[in-house]
Amino acid sequence: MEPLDGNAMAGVLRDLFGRDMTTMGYECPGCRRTGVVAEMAVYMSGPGTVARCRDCDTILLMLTERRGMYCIDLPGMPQPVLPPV
Amino acid sequence: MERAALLRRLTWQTGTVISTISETPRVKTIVLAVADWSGHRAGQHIDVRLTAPDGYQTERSYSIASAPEDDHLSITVERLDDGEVSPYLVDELREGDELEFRGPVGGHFVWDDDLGGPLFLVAGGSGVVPLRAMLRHHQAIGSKVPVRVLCSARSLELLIYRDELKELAADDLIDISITLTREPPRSWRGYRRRIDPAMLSTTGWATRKEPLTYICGPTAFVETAAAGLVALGHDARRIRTERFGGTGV
Amino acid sequence: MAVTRGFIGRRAAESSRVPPGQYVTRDFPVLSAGPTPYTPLDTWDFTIRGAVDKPVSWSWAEFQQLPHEKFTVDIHCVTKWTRLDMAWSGVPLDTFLDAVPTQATYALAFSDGGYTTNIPLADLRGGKAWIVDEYDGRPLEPEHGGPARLLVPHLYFWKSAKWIRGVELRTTDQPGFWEMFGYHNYGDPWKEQRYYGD
Ligand SMILES: Cc1cc2nc3c(=O)[nH]c(=O)nc-3n(C[C@H](O)[C@H](O)[C@H](O)COP(=O)(O)OP(=O)(O)OC[C@H]3O[C@@H](n4cnc5c(N)ncnc54)[C@H](O)[C@@H]3O)c2cc1C
Ligand SMILES: [Zn+2]
Repeated sequence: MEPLDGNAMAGVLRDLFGRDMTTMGYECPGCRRTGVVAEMAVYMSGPGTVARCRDCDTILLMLTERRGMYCIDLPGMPQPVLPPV
Repeated sequence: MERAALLRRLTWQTGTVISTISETPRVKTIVLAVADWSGHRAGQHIDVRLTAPDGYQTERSYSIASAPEDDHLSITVERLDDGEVSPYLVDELREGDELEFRGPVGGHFVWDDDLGGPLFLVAGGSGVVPLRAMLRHHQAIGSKVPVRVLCSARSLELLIYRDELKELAADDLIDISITLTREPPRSWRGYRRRIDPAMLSTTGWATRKEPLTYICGPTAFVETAAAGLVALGHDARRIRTERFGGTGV
Repeated sequence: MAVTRGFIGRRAAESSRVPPGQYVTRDFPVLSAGPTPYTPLDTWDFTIRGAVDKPVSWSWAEFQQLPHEKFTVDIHCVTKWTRLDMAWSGVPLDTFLDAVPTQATYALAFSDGGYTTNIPLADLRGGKAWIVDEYDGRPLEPEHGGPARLLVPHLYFWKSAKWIRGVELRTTDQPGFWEMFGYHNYGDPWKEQRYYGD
């Protein structure tokens, strides 16, 4: 399965945060690429969702669901930049 | 490492199918009536959720095919033969059925007049769906932004919104190019190959025009188009992409 | 829960061979958490390392020489699909482990692309786990974990690490990739051990 991009996470992220998160900015800790969540390479076919840097594959965001509870990890986003609402 | 546990909100709503439109032998537009539709931006999508009698559920994303100004919300679905959801939506769903979904969602792959242009819209297969919403929106608001469109389809028969694209092309501000990758008719005068930098260069804008580009379609198509434009010297930050998964076109 | 008229899904629970909460599929869904690595066979090896006197490796050619078993098992994925009667060919883990004395009780499988998963060593012994390089009579495709993957059919499928390159033997348990992100440490499909704490 070819990877998707961060647009595909828009629905679940909006459910979790109550707002659009795909325009949130980040800087990749692996290669310093900057971008927005929508541009990440997203793998949704496993047990959870894994979002990686498009340039260097560093994991930036992980999303796992557990019976209605979501767990979100942001290993690659020490300082996420929230977009204006 | 930052970690947070979050409770999912219940944001699913239902729409009622008021009609379905055959676009190609394997593509249908599904028109929905939705109570309290919040409105949307051109380019956004919804997540559709199907539930089987035994409780099994599955979700897929579908771009909104209608403009914010249209009377009804619609999506356009391409049937993948071995797919789980798209054959249901194309073959089984009918007028009067209820469809559960959440949305509109997505704030990146959207176009409003404020974002300006000139616009270059590049579509592979069903990737034309959100771009059609942008084109309709462009017309509905009487935007003055010039638009160039490049659509790739396997054959003329499989080109989604064929008639509508022809009508849109009559607009002075809108230029539409089409490439047919598999079976172009003998008399076909458009392109007859997969997209490449040369085609992107002739159908799109010069780099000095600093166009705003939207590319949508199967993942491999989007990668090729985006890489081609960057290789031509376009600014990657003015290229927005949306990948539907899968390969080809 | 509102049932969608006319939708049955392509999965249906069948027999006593299907663990709770699973649906039978006829496909072989591709699961991945990252890009597919393409490791040339001449640089591929399989290594047992960690709590051993000295790490031991097998090259691709050496691995090919080892006696392979053909076997058919049911596979259960935590994403809720079960696929019955999948035909594999591979080398039992015992073949490798018997060559490397150890005091370890835990194992951490590691793969190209950085994926890891932890399994009690006992679950890799006794003919319950294999390194497979063939599915359905053909070389294992890269998207399904080729050239070779771990196969531990009695646990959820994420334990069957794709693109396997070796096993680290350990005296302490170390959670792998999905285990670190909240999935069950052991993953028995018959006990529905999906998540941490199940
Ligand atoms: C943001 C977003 C917007 C989308 N908008 C649309 C849209 O407007 N119209 C539309 O028709 N689809 C759209 N898609 C794709 C859609 O979500 C589904 O992936 C698609 O309908 C296939 O679902 P399925 O259940 O039928 O197939 P599945 O059962 O999920 O997959 C069946 C097989 O097809 C392959 N496959 C999956 N997706 C694709 C694909 N897109 N192209 C080719 N092969 C694929 C799979 O790898 C698998 O082998 C969108 C996807 C995203 C992420
Ligand atoms: Zn990076």
